[in-house]
Amino acid sequence: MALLVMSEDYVRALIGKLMKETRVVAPHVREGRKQWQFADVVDPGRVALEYVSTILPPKKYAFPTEDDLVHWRTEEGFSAEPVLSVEPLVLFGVHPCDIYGLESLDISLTDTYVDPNWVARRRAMRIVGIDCLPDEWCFCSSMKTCSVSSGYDLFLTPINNWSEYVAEAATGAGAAMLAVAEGREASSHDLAQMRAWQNDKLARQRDRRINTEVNDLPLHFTGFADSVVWERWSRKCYSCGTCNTTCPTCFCFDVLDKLKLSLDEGYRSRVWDGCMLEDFAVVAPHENFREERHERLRHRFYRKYAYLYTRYGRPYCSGCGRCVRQCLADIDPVKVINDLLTEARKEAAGHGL
Amino acid sequence: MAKPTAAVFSFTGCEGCSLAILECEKELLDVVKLVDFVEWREAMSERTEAMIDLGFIDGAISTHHDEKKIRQVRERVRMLISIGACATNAGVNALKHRYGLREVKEIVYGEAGAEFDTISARPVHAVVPVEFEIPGCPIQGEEFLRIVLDIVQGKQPRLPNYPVCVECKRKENVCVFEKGMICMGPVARAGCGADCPSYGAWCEACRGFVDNPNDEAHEEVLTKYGVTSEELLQRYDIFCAYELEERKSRQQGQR
Amino acid sequence: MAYRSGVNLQEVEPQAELYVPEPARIVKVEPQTAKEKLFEVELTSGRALGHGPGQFVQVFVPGIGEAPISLCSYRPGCSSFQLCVRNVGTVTAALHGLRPGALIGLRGPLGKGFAMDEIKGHDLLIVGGGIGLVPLRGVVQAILAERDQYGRVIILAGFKSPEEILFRSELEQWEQREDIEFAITIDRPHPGWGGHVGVITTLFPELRLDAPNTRALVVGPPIMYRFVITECRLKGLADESIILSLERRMRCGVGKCGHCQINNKYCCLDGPVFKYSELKFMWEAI
Repeated sequence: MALLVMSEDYVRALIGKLMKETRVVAPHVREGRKQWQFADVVDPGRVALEYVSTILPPKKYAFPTEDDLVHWRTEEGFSAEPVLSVEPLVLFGVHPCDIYGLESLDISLTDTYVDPNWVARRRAMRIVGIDCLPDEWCFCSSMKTCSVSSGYDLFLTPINNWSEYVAEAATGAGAAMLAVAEGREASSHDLAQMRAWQNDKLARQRDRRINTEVNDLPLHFTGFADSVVWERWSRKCYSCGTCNTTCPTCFCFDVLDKLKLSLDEGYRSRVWDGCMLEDFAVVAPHENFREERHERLRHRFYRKYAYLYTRYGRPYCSGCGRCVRQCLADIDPVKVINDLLTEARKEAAGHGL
Repeated sequence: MAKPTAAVFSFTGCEGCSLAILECEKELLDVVKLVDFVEWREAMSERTEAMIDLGFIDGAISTHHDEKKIRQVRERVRMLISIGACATNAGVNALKHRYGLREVKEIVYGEAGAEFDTISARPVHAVVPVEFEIPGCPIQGEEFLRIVLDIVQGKQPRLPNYPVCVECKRKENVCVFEKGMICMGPVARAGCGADCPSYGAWCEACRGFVDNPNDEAHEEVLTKYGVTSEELLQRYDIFCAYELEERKSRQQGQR
Repeated sequence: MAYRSGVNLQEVEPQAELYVPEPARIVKVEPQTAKEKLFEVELTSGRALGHGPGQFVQVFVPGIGEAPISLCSYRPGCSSFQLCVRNVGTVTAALHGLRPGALIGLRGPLGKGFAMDEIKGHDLLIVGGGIGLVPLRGVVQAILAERDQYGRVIILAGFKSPEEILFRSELEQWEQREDIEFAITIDRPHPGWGGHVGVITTLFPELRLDAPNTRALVVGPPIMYRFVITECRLKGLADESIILSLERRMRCGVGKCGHCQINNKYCCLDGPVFKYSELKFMWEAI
């Protein structure tokens, strides 16, 4: 494992070097506020190394909000061909929760059938991770995603109050980055600080926890179908799908037909969709099998913490907190799950358990 | 199949929606390959007495003359499509319903007001049946083209039934509420690409509401942000005054 | 318990054509009822589709869109296949407007069909309501191709009215065969109809089944499932022995888009054919 301690200036210098070879995207302050967005780096000096969360997760670079999949024409009979634009890309400054999100989509989008556009773009992607400190919405400690052991080429852990970073290469591509980077050798004191960083992350979430082990969520969810909690929380819900749109592990989509005015050619494109939106489960006119707001809220939670967990072997929630951070109605998964658990315990007590 | 004929008829409004079609400059030549425009005040001098396949209506019905004219238009159009907030929702014209008609005339025209032929503003669908409605102030050219394509192909056109927040978040905008503004985005029908919030303004719901807006949730959120119910009503009123009246009378009917 | 680790993306094989419709030609169109037409289709490449009974294809009508359609024929060695389509939506309406020679796009075969190997050697109770008979027709064709592999074959077909009866001539052949027990019913009395009248469950009291050895294959509208499943269970059939096919609107057909999810199952990937035992605790299934 190659390690290097880099000053903040050296980190920015590394971004500059990478930019000469490849398109580099990184978090930037959005509209002058305490909100961030992954965007193309123009000036390494403006990259936000110390940030909480971007509005949209970095999955947008492999799964854009709208992505043409197929181009067809009927000029001579009918023909159709795949559409795919892909370019090498460095994602610089990705938090562990978002690395977890990307790896989760690697699983679901290659299970049984292998999605061509996702895989091509992910293969062309290099990831430089960076560690962070949670805000009041993060719950990565509950989801066990405070740190990740794979899914990155290089990972930066801040030390000495963000003045330096311990850079750890995990792949050949990461080592190549380190080879052109400047820095000093890591001392045992630096490594102790790295470990302390993790402990600090956990400590800061001591009062923001899901009141059960995440591994037990699928088991608990077997009993939540009829909970009063869904109705209670869904009363506040706009069904605006902001939780879906901003989620790093959501991957549902709709397919649009974009017909040219000439009528003889067109594109089939996927656009992000969300299970919280009213028409998501419409199967025929006047037939919607998740018509009620609480049914959609319940489905989203089941998908995150039970259905996809059992199907793909990990929860489809990274604890990044975007859904509640961006939710006008403050629908907080931590509170909802804790409410579900509390209600279930109350009910169990009613049965003398 | 013969090329369908089309016409645009304007009623009470700024005719900006009619202009929005003209502004599809790159595509217009392709559009006229699909439909034959036979009458359109803003674009051509020709007129017709013949039956028309597609009639696009912009503007609200807010005078007795409008009312008579829309009934005549309905008679000679096979498929009537309202375009824009005024035609689909009475638009800002319905703001005058806050006052009595006499008061409105007086405020706008002074003493001469009594002479003016103005009645309560209504959307086209409140006077004659319409086959489809394209909302927005003004309409989106791209959406208009898509819907024309659908109709030409015999496909039932659809409008998004989700709030503006969906498109706003996809553009990664900082939420308007975070900037201290009040926004109708969470209950307003999308399809505009969240243009207003993307350019620093708040959403006024010019495309009307989604099918099932969560008004209780919205009221709660606005109260949290310190908005009074009067201010709230003013927000709802700008484009949705008529829709609210309609909803109220529907609810009373149910009771 | 650790989470499942990530995927080595160098080791997976991207399916470039996953979402790309393959050109196909409509060979023949036969009206069935006022609402349904039977389309004979072949891939222009000449490739045989190679589907099993109960599978579906995503049919793309250029300029209009894509929709999942059940395959309704099973004829190994035949390069063409059949789709029976009810005119209910945009894509199906456009399909109904197409004539022989028209080109469309196809993806598939998709989904898990009826596991014929698992039902071999058993008595079969095949229950089809309305267009539910569409996927079952392929099953019956597969059975008749190797009739001696199965025990008794009982077919119950239900329609709203005589005008809605599908595959008329084929049903008559089934009725006449000695090796099939066939019954048909229509929901309400109808002038000129001399046969059985009543919903499909009214055919059950007459049935004598060897329950442990019987597999029921049931396809129909959701309301029919609730009543037919009850009847099957009253006859002593185990939940594992009741096999259904569900219908959902899919966008991708390959387990990605999320639209056809029924609780923990993807209709397109895990189905559309399910055992009732898999679905009985799923509140979204039927």
